[in-house]
Amino acid sequence: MADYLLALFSGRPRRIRVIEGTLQGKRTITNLFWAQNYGILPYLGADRHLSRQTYDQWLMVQAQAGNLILADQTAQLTEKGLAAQMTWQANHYQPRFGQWTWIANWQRLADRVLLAVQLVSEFAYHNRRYSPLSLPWHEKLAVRNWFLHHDGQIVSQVKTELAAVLTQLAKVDERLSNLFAYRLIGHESVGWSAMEASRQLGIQASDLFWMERDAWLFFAHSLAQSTGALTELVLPLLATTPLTSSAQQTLTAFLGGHSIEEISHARRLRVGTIREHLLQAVILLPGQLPLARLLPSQVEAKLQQQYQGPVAEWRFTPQSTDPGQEFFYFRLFQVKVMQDG
Amino acid sequence: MDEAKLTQLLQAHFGFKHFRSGQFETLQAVLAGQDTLAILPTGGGKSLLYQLPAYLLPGTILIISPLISLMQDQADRITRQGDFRAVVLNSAVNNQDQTAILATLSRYRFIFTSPETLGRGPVLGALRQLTISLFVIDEAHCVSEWGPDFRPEYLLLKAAIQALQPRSTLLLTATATKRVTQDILTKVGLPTEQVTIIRQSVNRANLFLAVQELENSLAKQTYLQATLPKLGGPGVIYFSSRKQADAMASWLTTVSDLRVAAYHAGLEAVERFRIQNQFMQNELDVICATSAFGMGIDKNDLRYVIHYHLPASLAAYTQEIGRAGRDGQPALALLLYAPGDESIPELLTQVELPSQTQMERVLTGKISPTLLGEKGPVINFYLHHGYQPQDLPTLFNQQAKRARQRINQMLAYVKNQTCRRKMLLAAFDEGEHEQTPCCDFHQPDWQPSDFGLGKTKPTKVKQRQLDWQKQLNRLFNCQN
Repeated sequence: MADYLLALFSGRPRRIRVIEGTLQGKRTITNLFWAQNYGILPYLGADRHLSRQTYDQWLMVQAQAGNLILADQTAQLTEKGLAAQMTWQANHYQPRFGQWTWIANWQRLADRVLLAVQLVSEFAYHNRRYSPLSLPWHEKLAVRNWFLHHDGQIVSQVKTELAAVLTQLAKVDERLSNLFAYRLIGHESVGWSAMEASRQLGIQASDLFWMERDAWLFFAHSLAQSTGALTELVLPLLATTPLTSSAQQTLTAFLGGHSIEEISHARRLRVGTIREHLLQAVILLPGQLPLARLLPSQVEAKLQQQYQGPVAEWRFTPQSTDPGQEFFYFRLFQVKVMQDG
Repeated sequence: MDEAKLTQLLQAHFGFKHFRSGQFETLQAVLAGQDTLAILPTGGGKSLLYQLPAYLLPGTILIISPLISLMQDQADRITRQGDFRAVVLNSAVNNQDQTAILATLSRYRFIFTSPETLGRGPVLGALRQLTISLFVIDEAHCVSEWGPDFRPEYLLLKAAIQALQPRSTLLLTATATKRVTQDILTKVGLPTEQVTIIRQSVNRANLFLAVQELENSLAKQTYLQATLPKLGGPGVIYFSSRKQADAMASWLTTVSDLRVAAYHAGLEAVERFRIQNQFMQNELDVICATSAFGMGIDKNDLRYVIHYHLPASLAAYTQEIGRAGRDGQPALALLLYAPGDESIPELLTQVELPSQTQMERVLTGKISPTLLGEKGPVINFYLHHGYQPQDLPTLFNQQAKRARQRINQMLAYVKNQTCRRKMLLAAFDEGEHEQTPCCDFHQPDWQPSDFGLGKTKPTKVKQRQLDWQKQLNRLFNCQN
């Protein structure tokens, strides 16, 4: 499974802890900033269970194999590593829908939909004696309440909604629609096991995870854009913004005309936290914040003189008595230059 | 209650015409309000012993169970039967769900929990509000083996029984020597003379016992590749690590026509559900499993259980091979051994204790037990239950010594130059059972066909014509 990690490195040094934190879904500003810089934001939270041990071990193995050079908490691919990366990319499924990674924790969403589909499928066959998918109590309750809230039309509704999404998905890659449909659980069918899915689709076991993640992210995104019984089912699990809810509140207040200090006071949060929220918004929602309000032109002009060359190589050197604010400006300027290309 | 009435209930609710041996005697004791210890072989129908009394006794039946997956499976099975509600309380249930469940606890006739969860204040407090008609300790040998298993919370069951004052206590296990039996009763605080002990032989006459010594792992792999197709199926191969179970399942899929899956506690709940069901419906020939597999799966027609690695004890081995041939038809219990295999379980017996100073600092609350490493919670438990830091090295050494003795006993089984059955039964204080077929001592050139294995040929895996629309139609019972 860990070999997909090759795709996250390049011929230039990348911070190893940023890549690890991105995969684990840690949304610190440092992680988000560098993940955007490396073009790996679609992998945010893609491997939440990745352990330090597994990751470090993989790095060591790659270094020993001559694929990676490890130095100073960074890693870069060697010529051999770049060739290995190309071979990997040519022989494995490449994720397509990672940009929607923030919409939902797809595995949780999948569990809920699988149980709902099972209930509806058994209902379609008038079967009451079956073993429901064993999920946490609150998930079962959510699905049960959703099911009781609907009438007999639920069978055709769910089938039509699923078919609509899978039709669109099949236009991208029919294997994803097949994978999605044959992994569903229902009357006298428990769906393909992972091994069976690999065999039936002729893919390697390690690709299954990425294909399944893509299929469910596509599904989550489609439901977020529509209305219907399945959307009702998963609505509480769908995020409306890539920001954390606290950062979203800060953004709303800022767009409403309030200053950082006012928001800090009203929300009883440190100024530093509010700045982090705004940086999160600048990184994850490019173009939505009026940067001029955050970065005064004279400050920007000064930063332009101070920092030149590739963004990734800038080293922050505080010069004022308020390094917190100075770093905020520095990072904003860095993001701006990076996003402007 | 007389046997006829109980048999009537058995038939009405469980569909069986007769009790298996030991079941009726156990039920009779339990229904009479006696504390009971039932030692019945794996597959002897132990869950029925606490399920049937629900039709006759009022109040709650509380079951203490060691494995999370096992609890959920058992609770699901009761719920599916439709007569009673069952609920699970363990570490897999989040706080929000636990609070909701505790608030409605009286609605459930069956409550499954672990010793760790039972030890928590709110859980015990909520249970005290109920009338517990039966306090069941499933896999009761864990009470005695708590040391090596590092489940010290099993020691708290004595206090829980005293606090809950159940009408009676039922202890269930498949394997317990006389020494272990006594140890269990002492640890749960039940005076031996007050307990009805029902003991059935651990012998499973339909199992052929064999050991295959091989040079190394590669030889084991080659041996399996050649042997599995001759065994028919379905069967289980046990591994000591998830990684190896996964690797072997993948490998067997590529080198054979067998339908294979890996099964262990590391699987997501949905995947586990799929594999369990596929196996039950004979859609899989072989499961590569860790010991997480089996306890909750009630599959009667397993034709073989193979151990790829050396189990940690004869008791564990006996439990695991007992899952083969529950239907009474011939089945095989095969252990693969390569020199040095004992090093894996031996490694697990070694515990490096933190320094006395560090333990004292934990005891006085100056540092968190998590800083004590992997064994932190266990050490913390002892420190807060009457043990001093200086007592722990002796305690852990004793446990390690006992664990090594158990491994040596297992090795003796491998190297045994006499009847394996005789040796296995002797370990459980039982005398000889002469039978044919018996084991590879009596039949060194055994073949699977000698006892009827391999009659069912594994179904060849078919490549399907994939059509997701048809699959949706089938799922939702639609014509188009």
